[in-house]
Amino acid sequence: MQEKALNELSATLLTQGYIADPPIVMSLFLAQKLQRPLLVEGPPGVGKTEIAKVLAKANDTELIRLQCYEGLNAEQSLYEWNYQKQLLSLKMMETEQRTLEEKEAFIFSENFLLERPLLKAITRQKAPVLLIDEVDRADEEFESFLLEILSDWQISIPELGVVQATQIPQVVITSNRMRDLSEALRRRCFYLWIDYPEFEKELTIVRNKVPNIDQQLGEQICQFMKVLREKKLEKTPGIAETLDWAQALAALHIDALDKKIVEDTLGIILKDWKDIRATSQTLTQLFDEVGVIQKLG
Amino acid sequence: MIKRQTTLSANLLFFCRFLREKGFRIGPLEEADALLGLQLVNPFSHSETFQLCLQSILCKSPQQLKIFPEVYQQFWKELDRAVDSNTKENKEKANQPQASVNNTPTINELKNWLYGNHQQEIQETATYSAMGQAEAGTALRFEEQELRAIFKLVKKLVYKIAHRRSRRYEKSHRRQQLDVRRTIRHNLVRYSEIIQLKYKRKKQDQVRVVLICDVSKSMELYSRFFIQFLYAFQQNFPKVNAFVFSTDLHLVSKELTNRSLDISLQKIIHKVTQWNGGTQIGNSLKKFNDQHLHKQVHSKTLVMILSDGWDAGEPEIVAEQMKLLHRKAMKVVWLNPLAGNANWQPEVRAMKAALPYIDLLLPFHNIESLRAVVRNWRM
Repeated sequence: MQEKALNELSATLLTQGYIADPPIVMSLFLAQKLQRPLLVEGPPGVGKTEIAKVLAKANDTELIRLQCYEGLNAEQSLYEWNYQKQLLSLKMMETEQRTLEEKEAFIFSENFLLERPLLKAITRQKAPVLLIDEVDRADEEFESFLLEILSDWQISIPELGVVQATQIPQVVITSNRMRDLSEALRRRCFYLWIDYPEFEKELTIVRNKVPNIDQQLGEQICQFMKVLREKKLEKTPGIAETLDWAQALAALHIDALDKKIVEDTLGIILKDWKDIRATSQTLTQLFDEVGVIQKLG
Repeated sequence: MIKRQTTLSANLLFFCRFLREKGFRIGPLEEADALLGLQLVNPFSHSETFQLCLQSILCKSPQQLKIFPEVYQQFWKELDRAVDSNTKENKEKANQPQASVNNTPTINELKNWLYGNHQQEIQETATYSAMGQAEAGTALRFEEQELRAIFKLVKKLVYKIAHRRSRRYEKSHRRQQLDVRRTIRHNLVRYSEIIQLKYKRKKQDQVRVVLICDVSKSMELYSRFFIQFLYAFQQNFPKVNAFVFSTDLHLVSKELTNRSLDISLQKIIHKVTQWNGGTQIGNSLKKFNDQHLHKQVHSKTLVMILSDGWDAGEPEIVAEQMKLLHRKAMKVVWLNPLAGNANWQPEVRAMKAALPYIDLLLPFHNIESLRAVVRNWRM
């Protein structure tokens, strides 16, 4: 029966266009069943963020996204008071005979509260998917503050009181490993590492996402990417780049890779000029490794 | 099969304990999760599913993911063997209670296997001399221009380190950013007429720096550059404490405050009798942790270690001390002069042992690399 559940999940992900290998399916399955946050790490562009999006679609629920950055604070992630509205209300209440306490209670009520992602996520009727994206970009203080919410599922607002979660959202946290996350955060989450895909998986993804691509071209692209990733590059291209490239080449109605085309379109997969220069210089050698030329011949 | 099923949870907990010995951080929470996970996934359908389930729950970092399959295989193999021999024995003495007694020989076997692995590691071949050499190091000469360049770069680095803005705000009188929350609160008293505006600004983190520099024989080539770096740092940043070590650790901040680098250097060499001696990274770090960690390292302290990682001591001590240091410090940065080489791998035992506890490992051997460090500094 459990096998069935796993297969079902895998199939649902597939219908949303996400090709998941067994570790991904298992982690998602367990995270959902045991209601634990899922921490996803891996190099850029391998579909970490996509997991949350697909999960939301598969469960037919809302996706609430919190993009982390350095300096992210409680006001931007939890809640903020609607100051403009508060000021206007105060003005309007000027002529009314209300006491100071009444006024205060009025302008610090829920009507004046702006929900930010974390508060939004715990007050929804149907449990949403909460995506905390690139948590390594935020600083450590934010991480510890996040811990409080992830373990208690409640947020305390001094003026209002404690807001309890109506539903426990499915949390997906992604990180690019710019810095190590704290042990405490890791322990509260299930951990999933997504690496660059194997040739077969990447090919399936390309065929799935770019259906009009030539069969041979698809293979060549994936083969080329595989070899390219083994090189020492400043910025190794991910699946996102492969898909961009495949889409571009398909749009140009190209059915096989050659040196000229690769050279012209290298900017799609490599985003660093040093990489572009180094790669275009060694393109012939690369082609040899890929075996594209022999195949064509 | 049925017997296995009844002891499955016990074996699972045993497996968790085994993982803990392998350095996995596993507490009751993880153990409970693993047991819950097994209720969801039928462990007897496929062995891969079972393994995958445990892996998803118990692994918390890529390093752990990497070693997990091997550890897993080893564990169940050993366990099977233990169980088999146990059942054989049990047939002979049927009335013996068979609870978890069979665990004892297994854990010993596993332990042997665990520690046996360590001994196979390659012995490093560095020349070791426990005694320091006092006369060496005097030959270092500093060129004016070079020093000026280093000064300029260190100044930039110090600026980047010291001007780390906190996420938090504090009250401010400078009219830059309006603190609306406080403004409204404050003016509520005046019958909601906004008269007095309140301002805020980002708090500044009080970052401190600790420099720990290796001056042993293997570092001779770079000592000159490193001392220049230390000197420039100390001159530019008041909240820094500089240490040098080879077989012993010395605080040299006071010596570095001298107006002239040459005099500073003379004073340091006078103080550090083991200049160009052997290396005891582990012991030196231990001395640092014992005597200075408490006072000088807090959650806003950046620790920079300048060393090539060649160590004559036990790597276990290095790992242990680095762990302590890493836990207490904001960041631990290791500047390694050998890391600049494209073929370099952190293969040296001490370096390998320290690696999990380093936030940033950077190549550092000349002005060019210092420039790169400054340029890419993001913390």
